[in-house]
Amino acid sequence: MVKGFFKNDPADRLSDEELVRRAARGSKECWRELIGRYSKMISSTVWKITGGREADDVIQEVLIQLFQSLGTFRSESSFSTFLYRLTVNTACNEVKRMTSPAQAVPVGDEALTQLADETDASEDPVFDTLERGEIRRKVGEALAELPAEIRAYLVLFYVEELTLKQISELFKAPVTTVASRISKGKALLTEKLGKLR
Amino acid sequence: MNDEKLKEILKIYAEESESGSQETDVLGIADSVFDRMNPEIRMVPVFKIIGAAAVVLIALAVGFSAIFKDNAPLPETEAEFAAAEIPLEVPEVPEIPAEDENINKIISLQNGQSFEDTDFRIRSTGNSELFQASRTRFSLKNGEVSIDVRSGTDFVVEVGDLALVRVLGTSFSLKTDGSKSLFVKVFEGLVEVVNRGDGSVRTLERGGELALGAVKPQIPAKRQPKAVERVHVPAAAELAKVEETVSEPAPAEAEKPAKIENIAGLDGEELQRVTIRDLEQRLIASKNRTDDLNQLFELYSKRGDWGSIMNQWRRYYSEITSKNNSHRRQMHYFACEASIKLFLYGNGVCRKYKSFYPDAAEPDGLKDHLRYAE
Repeated sequence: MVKGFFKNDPADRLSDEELVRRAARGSKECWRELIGRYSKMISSTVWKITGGREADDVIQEVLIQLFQSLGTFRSESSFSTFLYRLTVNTACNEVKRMTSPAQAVPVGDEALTQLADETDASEDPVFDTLERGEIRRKVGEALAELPAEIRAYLVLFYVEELTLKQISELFKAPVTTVASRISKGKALLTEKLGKLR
Repeated sequence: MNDEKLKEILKIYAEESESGSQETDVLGIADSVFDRMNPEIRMVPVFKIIGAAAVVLIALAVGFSAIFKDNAPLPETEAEFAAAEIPLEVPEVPEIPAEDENINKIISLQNGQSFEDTDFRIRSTGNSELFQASRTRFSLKNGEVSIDVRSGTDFVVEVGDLALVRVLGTSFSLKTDGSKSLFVKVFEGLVEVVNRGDGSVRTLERGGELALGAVKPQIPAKRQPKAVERVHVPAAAELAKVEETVSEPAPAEAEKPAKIENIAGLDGEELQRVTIRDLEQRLIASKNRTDDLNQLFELYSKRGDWGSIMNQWRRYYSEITSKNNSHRRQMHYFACEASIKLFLYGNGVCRKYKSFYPDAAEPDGLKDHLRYAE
């Protein structure tokens, strides 16, 4: 008989670490409670990084990875941090998988970096006059046209506010490559937004 | 565009992503992952049986014909319906398990006493008497018992010659009224009941009710489903029975032939029905599950059995939407079609279908459905 299974502690009163322990021993109730606490974080992070593309599949992959990690999870870092890293990592891996070779971005493209610098300097009064809904639509359309990996870089850097080093660790790419791709992303996004106006 | 401006507009985009992500059924996916990856170690509280041997004897004496009723509380709102999911799968053939060892002893339990094994625990909530035929096979002779069984244990309880209750690795409650009939009400999970009178088999899902006998007693709910958990999605045939009472004739489901070999001589509709039954029964052990599911979806669609499509869609969601499923698009089409027919505006199935396959064929009413869904 699974130890602790018959304990009467309501799952919603247990700590994350205790839920992990019990879920690892086979308690579905604890597993559901655990996922329920972070379902919004998981889905929104995945959606932001993938742009919604195959989001359900990516979330499933995140949960499979998490399930397989339950037994080895140690409380050295908080569970929320652990899960966030796992989610971002898995989503990034899936994004890399989605990115076909044709969409791959050349590294160290000086021309693109220069273009990015140029666009940095430009002003963009048009967006100052747009409604938020309109911005959402335009940015969503522009981002949808970007390669998945580039989109993920931009979201991680500007929205999730990860450092270049953190992103480079996630994607297992040199920091310079990450910086270059973010520059390219900015350039491409600016260009696409310009076309959408 | 400077960094601050880019950051600002990307954050606005992120807000939209968050709103889109709200429709993702993370808990549903979590259930699916858990059920697939953890069948061997999961331990669940299984069931409570309150029975009386006298009921069986009287029932036999009067020679009643069993009446199966399904009074499963149906989802009342779109959200409940959309969220419905069946947590576990049904074994292919409901056979009595081979006895692992012959024990053949009478167990008498006073109120509050327990009888335990590594895979189960039987606790008496009254003065009870059971006959133990083998390690995991019992016959309830008298009294009231509550039983917890480790998931995966093939655990069977007979109630005389009236019925055989088989645990399918999940939770339920069962109760008799103490007079002429046996009544089963499932509060959680999945239970299979073999009517030993006519050999018919009925699988009850969470919220389902079954009556063997003529009169339905008032059974207090022993365990109320939690708000965060799932409810049973009925098949369309079951939907039509919402208003039926227990005293009405048994649904056709109980009269179906149990074996596919009865297929010879059946007309088109019966052939469909039996084929569906056969496909459903073999689904759990199927090596080509998505092929079988696709065939099932086609048959369900032909019969207008929209509830069953959504049921299977939820149950096998991860497999159906897997990239390895060559029928993914077609099955998504059927699920979208079912969502339209059932007015499930909130489940996002059609939105995703249109998003994933913008150029694919559209089920009738898709545009209106999407418009209402917004």
